[in-house]
Amino acid sequence: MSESAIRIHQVHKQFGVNVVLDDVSLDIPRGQTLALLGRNGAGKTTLIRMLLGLLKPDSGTMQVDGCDPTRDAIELRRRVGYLAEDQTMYGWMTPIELCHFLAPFYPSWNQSLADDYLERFHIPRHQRIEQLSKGQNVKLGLTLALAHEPNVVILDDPALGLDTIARKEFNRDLIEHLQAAGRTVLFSSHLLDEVEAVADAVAILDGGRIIRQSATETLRSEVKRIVLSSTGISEVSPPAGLLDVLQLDGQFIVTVDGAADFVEHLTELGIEHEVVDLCLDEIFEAFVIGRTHAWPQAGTPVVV
Amino acid sequence: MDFVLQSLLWKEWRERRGTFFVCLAWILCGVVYVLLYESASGCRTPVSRYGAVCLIYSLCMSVFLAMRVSLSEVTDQTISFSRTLPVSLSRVAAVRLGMAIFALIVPILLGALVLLVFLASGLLEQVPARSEQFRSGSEIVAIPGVNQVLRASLSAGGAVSLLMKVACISISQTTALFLVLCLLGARRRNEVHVGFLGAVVAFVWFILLSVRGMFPAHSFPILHDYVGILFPQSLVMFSSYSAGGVSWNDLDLADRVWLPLFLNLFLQCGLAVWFTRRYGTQNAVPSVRKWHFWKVPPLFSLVSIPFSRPVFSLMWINLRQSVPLALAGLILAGIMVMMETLGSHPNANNHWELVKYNLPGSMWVLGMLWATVVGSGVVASELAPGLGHFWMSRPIPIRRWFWFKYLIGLLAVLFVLDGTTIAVSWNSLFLPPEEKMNYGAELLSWSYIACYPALHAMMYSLTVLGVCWWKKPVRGAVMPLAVFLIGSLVMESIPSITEFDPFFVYDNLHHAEREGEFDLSRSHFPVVFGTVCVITLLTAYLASRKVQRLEV
Repeated sequence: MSESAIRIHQVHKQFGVNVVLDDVSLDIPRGQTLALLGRNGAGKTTLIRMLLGLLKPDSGTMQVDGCDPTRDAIELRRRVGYLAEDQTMYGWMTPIELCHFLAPFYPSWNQSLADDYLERFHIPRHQRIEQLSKGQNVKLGLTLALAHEPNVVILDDPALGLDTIARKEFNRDLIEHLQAAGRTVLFSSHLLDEVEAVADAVAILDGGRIIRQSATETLRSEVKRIVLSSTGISEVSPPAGLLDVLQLDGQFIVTVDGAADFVEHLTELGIEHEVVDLCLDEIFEAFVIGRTHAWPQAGTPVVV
Repeated sequence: MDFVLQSLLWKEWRERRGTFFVCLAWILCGVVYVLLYESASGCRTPVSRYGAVCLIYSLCMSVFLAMRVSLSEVTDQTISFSRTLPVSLSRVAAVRLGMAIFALIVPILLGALVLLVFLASGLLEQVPARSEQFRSGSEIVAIPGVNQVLRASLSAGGAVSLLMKVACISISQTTALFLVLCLLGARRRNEVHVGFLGAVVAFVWFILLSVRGMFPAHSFPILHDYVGILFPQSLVMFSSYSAGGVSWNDLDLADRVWLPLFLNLFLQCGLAVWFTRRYGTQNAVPSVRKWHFWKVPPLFSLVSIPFSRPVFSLMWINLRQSVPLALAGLILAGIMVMMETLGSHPNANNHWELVKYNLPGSMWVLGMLWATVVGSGVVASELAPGLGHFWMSRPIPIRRWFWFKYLIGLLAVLFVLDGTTIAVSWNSLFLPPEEKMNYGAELLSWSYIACYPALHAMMYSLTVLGVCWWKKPVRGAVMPLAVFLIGSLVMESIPSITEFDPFFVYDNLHHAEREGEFDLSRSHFPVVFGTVCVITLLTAYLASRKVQRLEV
């Protein structure tokens, strides 16, 4: 069995002329919770659907918990817990009926665990699903995704459409029941402030490519915002890893990936500067909508 | 005309023009069929034939258009945008309604105009409607070798006048059905629900065609004359005849046509105003649960136990889905038969037996319709993005999922609809011929058992294919019905292949059976119903192939 719970290697997918995933590679070690970040249409859901064997890649290979989704899709779905965004379930069933219905499809289904989740999540067992609230529906989906004790759980923006409190509650449940059990979790979301509390690592998907994958803390320590004066910035060349440049009230605010080297360089040159820590939301923003053309010495290629 | 109205009309025309051309094509094909059939057969019943074409057209297109008019903005999620426009929703609804009515009735008018030219020029002839003087439609056509009195043709003016009356009744009943369905649609949140509800209402509407006959003129003169105000379709009733490979309809026109139609117009205006006020007022998500008290509590949930094998899970869910749907059809057929029995035999003391024995008389046609409802109902919701994704992400091979669904749905159709019908009226098979006459003409026969379950299975299978193909439940259900009915009409209009029409085969078998000769090797039964079985299997296979494409 491979050390990575999920391994994606040079996967390419296009629909017609529209390239959705371009040479995507990603490794998620066992026990890690990785947040897959991206804007709408970045290819997150396509990648997740491929991991479940619902779509076939044009090229590249994938392994999820030792299974190849293109060849062993059914076996893979037995092993993986999956919760889709806005997943619909049979409105006429009750949660307990749905659990009993799904139980025989999963050899490792643990009914007492399912009962336990229903109770902990305060889901009424004998109420029709159509009468459950949106939050209860998502938690029921989570119950179904976890009741067969999967090693790998894939969550595709599950908190979409929930209000702020319900999202926080959901994330709290997620931390309690997933991370504590040491499962590997691939968690797609664009609600970054909430991802920050949950994810061990993040991967940023933009324009069909993974543009950054790193442990959350590493990313926060490597990507910084540096405030420079207009005279100070004109004395240095744009650093490698420059993500964003913003001119404001005679000052330049630059965001740099690998800021430590740049800060050291500024200190060596005696240029006055201020370093600001960023939250995940700001880091993500710099990666996907950052612009570097405002640098006074524009023209030097920027390598990200 | 103000600019707002112009804009609204433009938008509605863009949305409805496709439907309008489909309606126009349908009616013009119908007119061509009438012209060709009448020219070839010389039945002299183009008006009644055109009326029958319009009736089938109105039942199908009213349901479809009502779905779109009342809920397409909800389906497409544009209703919230429309609400923000500086124009009242009532006005938007009025324009939607107006354009849809235009799309529905203009083709009927154009078709009538084409026919009018042929009648006025004398190229086609029309016999008078049924009356005291002409009591039987069999006197319309001279059957070779049989000496019969012919019903003389009307003058050109008389034929045109009759055509105008039938066309106006067709238009009136089409818009009335459409408005009733729109109003029902305005209270629903899902187009599919309107489609299923529409299918039931359209069927009841069709049954009510003979409501005037339930109130004989001598017993209920006022009801007989004015029931058309509520049910304009009853102002003209059709009686079908066939002989010598030719079939025709006789018209039974109400004595009073214009006054009931005029009064019905007021009712329709009321329905239209009601609709414009109700349009867009239903929330997308149910908020108030005041009607939930009548729902049956989830009793099965209290006794639910985990299934030991996937097979039992699949059987359970498919039985829970298909059997209630099929049962609804059986109940509807039972109600129809009860209504008919009470209407035609009000003083009989064996009502239960009459209902049991006459059930096949309703079930053969309702089974055709309801097989499509079951076929669409069991497959459509699970191919929709939400539930479809739920299924696709489960460890269930899609082939197995499909075949369980298909076979259990098919068994529900055959056992609940046909099986129950055959079981409850089984005794009528063994009644002496003279006693059978007391119960009516449409009793259970061996011919029925041999023919109609196979036809119902074929309709079910065609619908499953349609739904898997288009992933649209109503289109998937309506298309097989339309194809089958049009195919039957085409077969009927070409003399050399008429005898291969399944209905014709059944009629011949049934006729022979009544004369004591039941032989399934005759009347092309092996060829025709062998083909029906092949179509059933082939469509099921194609549907499974189509569904498998959803999987990698």
